[in-house]
Amino acid sequence: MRPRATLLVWLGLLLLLGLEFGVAYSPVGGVVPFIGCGMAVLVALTFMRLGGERGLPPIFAMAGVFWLMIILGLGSLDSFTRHDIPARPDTPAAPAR
Amino acid sequence: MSGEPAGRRLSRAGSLLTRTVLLSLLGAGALLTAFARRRPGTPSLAPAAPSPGPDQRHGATGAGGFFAVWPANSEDGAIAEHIEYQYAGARHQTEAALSGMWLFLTTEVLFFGALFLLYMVYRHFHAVGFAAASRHSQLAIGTINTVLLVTSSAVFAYGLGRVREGDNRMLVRACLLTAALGCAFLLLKAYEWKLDLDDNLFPGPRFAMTGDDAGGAQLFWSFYFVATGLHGLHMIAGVGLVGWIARAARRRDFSASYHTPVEVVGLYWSFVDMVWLCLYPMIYLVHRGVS
Repeated sequence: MRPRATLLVWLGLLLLLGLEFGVAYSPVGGVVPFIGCGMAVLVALTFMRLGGERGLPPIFAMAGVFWLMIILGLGSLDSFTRHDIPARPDTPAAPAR
Repeated sequence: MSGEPAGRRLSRAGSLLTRTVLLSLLGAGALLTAFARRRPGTPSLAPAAPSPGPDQRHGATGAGGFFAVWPANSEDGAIAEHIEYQYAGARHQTEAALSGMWLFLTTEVLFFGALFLLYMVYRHFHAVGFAAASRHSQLAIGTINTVLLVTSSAVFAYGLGRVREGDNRMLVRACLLTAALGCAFLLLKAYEWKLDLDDNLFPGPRFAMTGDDAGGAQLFWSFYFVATGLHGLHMIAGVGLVGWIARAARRRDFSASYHTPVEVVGLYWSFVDMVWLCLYPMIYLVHRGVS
């Protein structure tokens, strides 16, 4: 990277950090992890030069993202979709052991 | 789990240990490949050319292809001494080193991904406890640390750009500044841990928070200590690697045509930065706006 581009990316990251900080105190504060992920992607594309890579590195990077999505998606699916159905009041309690 | 036979538990532990060792070897292999020098007396199958011509591309045919023996006049002594005999040239070796590092980083994504999953699921079930616990975190220290780490990545990227033009001196300065910023991060993190421990925020019988949401708060602080501890260990390794690069650059080991180790270590350092950029909002920010 050229020094000027490095400086611009650094300033961009600081700007996003400030935005993240401001958004955290707003009613939509729950979106700050997405801004953090955006900053991480910017680092990958610029400082790690993923944008200009060819061959295996982008394949490995995409595989990492893919399997991360599998872990997060399948791992949290049950927790996020399960509904607690309260037992009827007249349901007999389980016998004590 | 408690009813599991001892043999099966032992087998599972052995399998886990084997995987850990293999992953460590993978990462170390990528770094060693990058730093590899040709051993004296080793027959050279493929000395590198300063700028690969059409017949010297990776896998090219016609001049011997993948295992070509390049003519003596295509050697560049400055690069050739760094080329291991199994590679078809400098470019092939660089691609192998960078691909190896990316593969290692992919395994690291999954390593930290399990922690992120734990955070998502427990936060879903203990939202109030997580919010209460998060507001006790040291926001100022976390934010300063984020600035330090982002700056260190930019400084190292600048050093890499300079060594691509053959400037070892500027790379040494960039590495020293990067390592100093990394050390500042670690010192601040240690101070932050001390404040947290003084406030009895370490999960256990003396945990400071009480009430219905104390369980969720303890889970948050468990995540905090495990995640920041593992990240800190990666930082310590990164500072060591950056120091290693600085030492090599001081000996003028790198040039415009050979700087693969700098690129490999830069990938690792930026990855550690990326992990922190994901951890920072999860620990310090996500619950700040919740009343």
